[in-house]
Amino acid sequence: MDIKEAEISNKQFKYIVALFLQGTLLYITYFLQKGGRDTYIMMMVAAIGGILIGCLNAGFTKLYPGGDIVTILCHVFGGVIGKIFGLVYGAFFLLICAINLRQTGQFVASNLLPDQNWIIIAVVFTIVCLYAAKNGPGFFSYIGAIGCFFLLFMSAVLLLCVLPHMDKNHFMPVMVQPVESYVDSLIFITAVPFSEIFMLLMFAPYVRGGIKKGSYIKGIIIATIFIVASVVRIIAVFGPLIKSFSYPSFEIIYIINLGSSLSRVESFFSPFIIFALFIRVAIMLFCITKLACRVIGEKKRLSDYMIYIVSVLLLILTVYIADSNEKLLEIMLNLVGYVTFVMLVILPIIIFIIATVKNKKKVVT
Amino acid sequence: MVNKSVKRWLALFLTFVIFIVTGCSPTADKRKFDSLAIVLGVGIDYDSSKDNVLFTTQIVKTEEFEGGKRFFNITQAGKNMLEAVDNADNEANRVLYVAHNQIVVIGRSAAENGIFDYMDYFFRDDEARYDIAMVMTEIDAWKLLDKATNLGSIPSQEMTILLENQVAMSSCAKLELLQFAMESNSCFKASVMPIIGISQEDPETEKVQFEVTGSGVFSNGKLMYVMNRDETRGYLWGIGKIDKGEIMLPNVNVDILGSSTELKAKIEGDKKKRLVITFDIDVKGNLGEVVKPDEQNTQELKEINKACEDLIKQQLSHVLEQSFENGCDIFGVSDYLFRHKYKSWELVKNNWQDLYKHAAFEIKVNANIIRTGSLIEPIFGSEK
Repeated sequence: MDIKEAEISNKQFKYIVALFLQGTLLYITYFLQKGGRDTYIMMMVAAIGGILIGCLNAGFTKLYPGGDIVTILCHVFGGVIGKIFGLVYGAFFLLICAINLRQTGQFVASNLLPDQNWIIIAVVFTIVCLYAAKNGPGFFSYIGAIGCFFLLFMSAVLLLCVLPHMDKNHFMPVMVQPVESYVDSLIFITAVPFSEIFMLLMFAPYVRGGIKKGSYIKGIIIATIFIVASVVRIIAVFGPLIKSFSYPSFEIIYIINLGSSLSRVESFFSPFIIFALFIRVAIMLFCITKLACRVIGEKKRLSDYMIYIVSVLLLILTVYIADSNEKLLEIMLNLVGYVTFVMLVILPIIIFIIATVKNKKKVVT
Repeated sequence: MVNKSVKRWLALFLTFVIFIVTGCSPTADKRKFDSLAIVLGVGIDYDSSKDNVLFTTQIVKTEEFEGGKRFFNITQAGKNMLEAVDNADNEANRVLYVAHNQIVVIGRSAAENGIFDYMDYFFRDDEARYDIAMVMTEIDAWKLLDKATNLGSIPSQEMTILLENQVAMSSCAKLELLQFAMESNSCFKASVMPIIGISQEDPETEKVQFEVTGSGVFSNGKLMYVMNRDETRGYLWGIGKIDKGEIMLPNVNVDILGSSTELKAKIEGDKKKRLVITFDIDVKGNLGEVVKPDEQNTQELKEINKACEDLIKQQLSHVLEQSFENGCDIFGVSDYLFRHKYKSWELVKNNWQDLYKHAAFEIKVNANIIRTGSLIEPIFGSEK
């Protein structure tokens, strides 16, 4: 297989989890559409859900030490059905990855390079991600801690820069929306992004001593601080306009004007945002490729080229997933959130229950 | 091994980032300095005879110039803003670069017709900034933007400086694009926009001096009424935006050192609801000047404090009554109820306009002169 293998520690894995979730910076648009001015509360509650999902993942690792998603599925459902399930998960992960890539392409094309075709941006982006994914877990672990630090640093600087524009009254009134909208928002934010850490089980064979639940918990906490800080910034600054902007995480930078001398600082913050998006897509690309290789068998010649095949499929899906960003928004809000919840929350719980029962039976016999 | 890979990836990543951040694209030629028309101010008017919007752009001359104006204006009409902007783009023969725009001037005609239809453009454009000042003028915006000033600077810049100075002196309300958008999306909050006019015009050179003449009150994007400078002052007391300036009493001037205002509102009554608004204003001042000390017992600071309090109450009451009369919630009372008394708000929101027009109010002012300057008592004009 054309991906470099390397062992990583639990500490390094913690930063991979954090970076993977921090890359959902552009997803804040969707979170705000669902939760409105109470999104930050929903985010914190959803993070608890995320921690439980992390514990579930750790539970899988305990049941099947070093086992990735395909291993688990094959043990639970048997070889053939397990691989079919694996294939379904692979396709679903590819869809999630395509949405991320599409969003990144559209974001760059609409805010940073307005005269450029987003498809060209997506292609170049994929090439850089492919290079990162090819370097495997060792690469991600290497840049994990420093990447996390840089993103938290960016978040802190941005918070300080927009502080004069923040108004605490924009958070009021608290929790007065209909209960259904909170449930909906909670389901969405738990599913996207927290439940997506399920795909990080593909790192399980590389983590020394197996993935501990502490790694998930700490990673989720770091990422939650980052995302909640971003959401709080946006609500405090944009107030009643939070649902109006396409990429509020970026558009908030437009208002920075410190002492009439430090303004138009998009160029300073953009690399951090692009970095966060890169790492997320690269991690996804790695997980999908690994999963596809495990389904077809790693020794097959096809698996040598799998990362290229996955990249091409990803690009095709990215182009055809929606014909406009309005359509993408609609798909995300009305479909992807719920499907993700079923695929990455409900199904894993069912699989875990079956796996636990099977394991107990095994121990008894 | 990994270290080497990371370095390679970093090189690749940075190349991509530089490509994006510097705007290296096939159409980057359009962004070259000499191919841009740098816009410093825009004006919006409404031509009722043709139902057109008149879009004026003030472009700074980037090449050397001898005498004459340092700017040139382009005014183009269109059925909507985009059409007018496109027409201006064509006339300029350059790309209009709005990232440095400092001011949006709304002509009276556009203000009365409603400006919501024109505002979308400023937020949708990827180069737009949200901290651009918004002002209104009683004349046409294109005429105001065409006036050269005595100081020889560009009108848009001159107006921006004037606004900054006036805001710093607590003489006018400041309104930026983002604030206007937020107020337009709040419950019933009306926006208050400074009005800029011409104070002096030299008949020979036709050069002018700008001045802030008051404020326009906008509700649902339309100009509802105009406040003069004194009324604007009353409004500023109500929103707690007075940190400088003077309180002028008949024989005494008080320098304002700072003030704070707390607005509260509540709904009273069970069957017949009644809105009660309370302002709690705290002012600190310095005795700036005393003239004709014998005509009034000015040495009694208590008396001066009382006179200040009465003047502030009078200014604010007048503005409040004016806002009730016009049904324009300039102080954000509806927002206060929505945010802090949500249950009460839910009960009255459908009947808000009627409730606001018949609201009762109470103004509590606490003026406190904490300094008397370098003098304890007047030196001149007092009885020997």
